Amino acid sequence: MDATPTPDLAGRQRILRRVVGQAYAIAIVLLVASVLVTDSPTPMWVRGVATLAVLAVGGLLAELFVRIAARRYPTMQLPVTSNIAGAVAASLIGFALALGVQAVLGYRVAITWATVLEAVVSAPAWLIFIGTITAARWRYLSTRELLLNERVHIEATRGIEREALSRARTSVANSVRPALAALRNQIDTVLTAPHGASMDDTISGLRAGATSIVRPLSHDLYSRGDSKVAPRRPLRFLVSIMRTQPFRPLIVSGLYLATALPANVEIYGFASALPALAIDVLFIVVVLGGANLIMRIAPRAHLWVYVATLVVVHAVPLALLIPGVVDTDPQFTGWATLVEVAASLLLLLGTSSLGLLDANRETVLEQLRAEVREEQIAELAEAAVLAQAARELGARLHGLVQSTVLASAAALEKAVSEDDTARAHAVLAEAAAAIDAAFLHPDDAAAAPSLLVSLTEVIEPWREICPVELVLDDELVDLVGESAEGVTVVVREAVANAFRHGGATHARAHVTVEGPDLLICVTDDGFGSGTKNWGLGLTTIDRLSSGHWTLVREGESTVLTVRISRAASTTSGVDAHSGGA
Amino acid sequence: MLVVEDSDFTRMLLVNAVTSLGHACVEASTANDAVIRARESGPDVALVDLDLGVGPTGADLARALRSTNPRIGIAILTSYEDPRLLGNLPEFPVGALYMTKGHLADLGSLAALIDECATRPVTPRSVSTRVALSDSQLEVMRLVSAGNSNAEVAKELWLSVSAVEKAIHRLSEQLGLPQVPAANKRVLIAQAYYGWISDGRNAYP
Repeated sequence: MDATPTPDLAGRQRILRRVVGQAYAIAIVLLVASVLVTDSPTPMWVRGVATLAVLAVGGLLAELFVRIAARRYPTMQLPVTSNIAGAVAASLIGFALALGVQAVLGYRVAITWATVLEAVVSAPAWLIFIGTITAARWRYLSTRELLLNERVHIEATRGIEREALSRARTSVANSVRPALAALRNQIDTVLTAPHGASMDDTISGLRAGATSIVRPLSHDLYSRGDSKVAPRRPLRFLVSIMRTQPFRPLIVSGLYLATALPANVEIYGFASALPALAIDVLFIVVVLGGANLIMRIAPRAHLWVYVATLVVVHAVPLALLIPGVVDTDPQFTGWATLVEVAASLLLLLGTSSLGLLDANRETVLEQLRAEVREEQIAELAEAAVLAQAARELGARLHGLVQSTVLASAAALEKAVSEDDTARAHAVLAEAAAAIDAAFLHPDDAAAAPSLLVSLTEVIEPWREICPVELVLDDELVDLVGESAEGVTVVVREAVANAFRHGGATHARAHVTVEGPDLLICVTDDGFGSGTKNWGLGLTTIDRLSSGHWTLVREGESTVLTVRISRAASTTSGVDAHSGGA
Repeated sequence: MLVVEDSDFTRMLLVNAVTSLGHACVEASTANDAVIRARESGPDVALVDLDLGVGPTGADLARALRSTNPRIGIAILTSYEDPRLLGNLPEFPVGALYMTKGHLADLGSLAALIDECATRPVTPRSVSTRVALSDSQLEVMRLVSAGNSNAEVAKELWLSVSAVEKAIHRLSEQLGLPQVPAANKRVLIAQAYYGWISDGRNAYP
């Protein structure tokens, strides 16, 4: 059998469809609103049919976009070409649709046919725009990722003192201590005065405690640890980005200026349309610069800045068209059309700008590095590592303490319901011991084992069922951090899959360094589980490796090869283990 | 007879019960030990706990035991009301009996279980799913109960955070949990989960 990994198309399509669906809903609202508020001699039902046709085409386009994007871009990063293709397609379809509606139905809206064209162009532009922005948010402009994935980060983190790491962990541990102490006091009250304290109160207290314990950790757990890397000279940075790919924004801008031209000519005549086009050009410059700066300086805010801007810009022409609010004379509708054109430009330029950054990630990173002081990167890298250490401790305490307390609450409730006082006290004593352990030695719970220890713990339980031979590069033996955890998860899932679904009786796990990545190769003597029906194991591996894995049959063996980024890994300075396995 | 159970106390009770029924018994606390013991003593029936901690599950062990002895009777004894509560599991070997410990009322029912496994070890039997939740709902429940944040659950299951929030809301409705602002849905869901896996009874049926 020779199995090629199948991308999780359904999953990607589901995600994209959700994003695009939201944009499509906005388009529906805009178009339906425009039909309702437009004063037109054409009967309402005709306009309704025309609107439905537009929406149907928009829906088909959206679905097409989802399918192509999910299939072609497994990491959900869309290159700039998709924006250009989207712009061309939207323009052509817009023209065809507007002309077709006029020719077949004799339908002419009260404003101009060019406005219909703009509306139609805007709908797919919205879809492309929001889909691209969301994809970029996931994968790109996180400074944490930017720093953690870079060699410079790995170099910088080697200089971090153990004391600093310890301080970060202590700080997190201290944040949980008041809640732990309160819970402990409550249990003590029951244990020392069994006849005076209410078990029901204690059960409620345990449940509430499970929440209050993790509350101080929630900031660390839910924050992605992003920090801002702002260029010292924003304008120079902007110009340097523009210089990397000067023609792409110009192509996209040109397409939209061409789209806007018929509208302007229809409203103002050819000569008068030129100043309007000049305004559009100005718009392009401002928007392109603004887009890049917003994304660079406030990566987490840019989506909302864009959306707010676009809502305002779109709201203006709609407000102008509402009868009674503003006189809908041709001049106003013409002006509204112009604003609509500007909105489309804004949309597509935002899209092209994002796509530009995405397509030139490496170049942009180089530019950014040149603009940011080395010391600043080192400081941010250190802060990122410390924050990560705090998050890891938080996650472990979150899992260990909360689960323990919840399990105790359940066991206590059962003991109380059975009127088993002795058992209830035993449960409380166990809970107290667990809380004491977490209180006194939080770092014990957080001490991350080295890669060798983690892998040994994973494969040892399979020794008699499906023995695994482990081979590690020497430099990986003491590896700790996210990538070590990733390798451990991959080997764990691979071994379990090989036995459960491939009928393997023996396996070999080989982990090596290859450039900036770690290469995990798990070979087994099974018949292979195939990749058609993914279970949780392959889904996990796919997620960890961002799709960089293969499962092939080689002779009598099945070979799973997984490549994961060596991001956020450090080499443990304590408890070093020597030698390979 | 082979008894595999990672809890020392439960294993001791089971071994005593099996011995009192007149069966020779060997015991093991891990999958590795169980395979070695089975190799040494060649039991007719294995009583296997489903959750053996990190590594192979009771289902994995059952398959390994069956591969070396095709006629061995297998009984999965567990506190998990539904095998799906444990997460990613392989199929049970043909003929394996699934029974929750809470349903073993007395020695008679244990004797009947052993007898059934010994006399008809490979008669096809179905393992019913007893919890009226979908696989994905159980997965959300398991991950929430393991202390994962909504963001982590979303990452694990390839969902958006809002989808996880909705799933948790639907789950809490389906479990009949109190829908009042004072109730912490995540805590109650975790509590229901631990209720299911601790003694086979749901605290919020």
